[in-house]
Amino acid sequence: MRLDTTAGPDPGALPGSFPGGDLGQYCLAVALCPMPALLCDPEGLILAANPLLERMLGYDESGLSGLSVTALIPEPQREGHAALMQAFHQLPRRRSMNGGAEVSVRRRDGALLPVEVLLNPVQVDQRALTFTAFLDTSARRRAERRLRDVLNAAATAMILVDETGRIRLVNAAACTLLGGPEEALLEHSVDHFLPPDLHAAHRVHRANYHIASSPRAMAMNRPLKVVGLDGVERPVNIALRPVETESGQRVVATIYDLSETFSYQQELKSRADGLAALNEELTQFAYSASHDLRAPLATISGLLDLCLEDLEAGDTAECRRNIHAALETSQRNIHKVEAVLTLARAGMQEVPVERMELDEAVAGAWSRLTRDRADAPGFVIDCDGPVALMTERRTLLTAIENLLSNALRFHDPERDAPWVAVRIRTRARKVSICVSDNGLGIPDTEQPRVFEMFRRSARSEGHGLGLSLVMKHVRRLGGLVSLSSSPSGTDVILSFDDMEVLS
Amino acid sequence: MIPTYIVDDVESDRYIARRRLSKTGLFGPVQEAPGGSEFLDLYFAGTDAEAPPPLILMDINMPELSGFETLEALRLRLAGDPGTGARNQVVAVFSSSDNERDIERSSALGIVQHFFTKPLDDAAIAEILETYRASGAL
Repeated sequence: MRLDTTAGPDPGALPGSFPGGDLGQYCLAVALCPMPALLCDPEGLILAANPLLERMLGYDESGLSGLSVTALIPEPQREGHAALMQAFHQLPRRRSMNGGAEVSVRRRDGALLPVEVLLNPVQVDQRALTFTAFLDTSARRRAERRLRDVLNAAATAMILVDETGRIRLVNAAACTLLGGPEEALLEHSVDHFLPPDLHAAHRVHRANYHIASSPRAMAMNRPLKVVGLDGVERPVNIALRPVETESGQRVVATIYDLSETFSYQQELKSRADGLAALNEELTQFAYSASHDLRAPLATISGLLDLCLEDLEAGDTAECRRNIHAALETSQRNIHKVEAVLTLARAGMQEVPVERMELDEAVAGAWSRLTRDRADAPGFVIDCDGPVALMTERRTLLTAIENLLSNALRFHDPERDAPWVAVRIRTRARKVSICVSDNGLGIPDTEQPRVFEMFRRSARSEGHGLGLSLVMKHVRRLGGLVSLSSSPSGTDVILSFDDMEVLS
Repeated sequence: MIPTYIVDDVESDRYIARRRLSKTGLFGPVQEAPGGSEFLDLYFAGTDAEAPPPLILMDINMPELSGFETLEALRLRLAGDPGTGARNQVVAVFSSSDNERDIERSSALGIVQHFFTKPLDDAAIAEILETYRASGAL
């Protein structure tokens, strides 16, 4: 970071011309000059230096006279200095060394001192001498460093912009926000950091601001976007404040990064959405439970009423038939209540994370399900890589068992070769398990609802809780369930983006 | 005799309804459907023009088409079919729960006259018959 010093009044300026006279008068002028100065001949020999310069460079009184100016030049630059001196004498005119930029002067002890140097050609007794004045800029440098430290200590990004839109100063936070080092940022107009479609408009806004500038928020406090040199777009608020400097009017733009605020808001929103979803799930649960848990009791009650009437009428055969029906309904309901409790408990209990050989676990589940069935469909497991996982073995296995049980239950009896296939794919921490069958399929209208509680197929005697449980278990493990089905079969894919795969 | 349709996926519930209806001796023929699609097929298969308006006893919670979805489909088909549209019917929803949401949704359909909670009893049947008598259909 460097403060701009190229324009404005030059504090080291000397009067434009000296009254004529001999060398002695010039030496007196050097001695009386209120700033460090020297007079040298075209070869760089120091003819006179004033006490201010001697003190600044650590020389004794008159210690500089008779030395070459080379002594004042830092070693690395000495070689080129003769040529620069020659060039100056070809077109001698009053000017600042190095275009007014800071240069270093070498003290007697070898230390380097930042200075600005003003060169003034004078003709003395037909000799082209150079009156050279020095401005010690170390104090300004210290002030700059303090300012920079203060700015850098600020957590907020700040930039100083001149009337042409060029960035003149940036602090550390601005470098982070605008995605580049200080040197790179200083090369650009401030327009460059806005989205491309705003470049032209911003040039106009910027010019207007310089005409009537007052402290205010940019874009009426609406969130803006800046595009850093790294190409990253960030939401920001920008406050503008005009400042008068020696070099003219500047604008300090304070840039507040809203990325975190935005992501925090998004997180809050997603949590609120999550809670709303949970609330909806609870409402759905209460609704379904009131229907589906009451239904069998209503049936039993209706049947028993009829039993009493049948008894009174002496129709014991009908009465017996109805008692059996009531019994069957109540027994079925015992299983249903157990299934509901299992579903409700899922996610509440600690389940240990264990090593799970996925292919073996799937094969084991299939053989348990088909143990007593002679007509079980063909079964195949297809893996393409490591299949050992670290996960809640019991949770994942229950989900897979439910899918296999569905595939088995809904196989198409008309088909010659019914099959069920499990395809396991692992890539880094991504795991996908696809359970496919060539069974009856799920009607299109039914597909969006199959994961709802108590949603069951008309072709099934189940309770309509299996896929709810699959969904709940897979979500618990951080995965997703997707379903595709047609009359030629069904694929259910469980995908996990972050699961430990053991190689 | 009132032609009647019992739509319920639970066999025992259809049986209970059938027994309650038969006690009065006023309902017939009584046809049963285990689901909405089966009911719609039955209902539009042909009717007796001389008979009183049919009674539809509709369960809400059924696999695939729910009672609401079935009645909505019925309403649309009746509206689009002037032949059957002219015909009246009495729709009674019977459900295992007296959930407010279900009662509101039933009445919003515009074609439901009764809402009963299961099990269907003689009082419910008496109420249905009252509707028929009040309209002069019986």
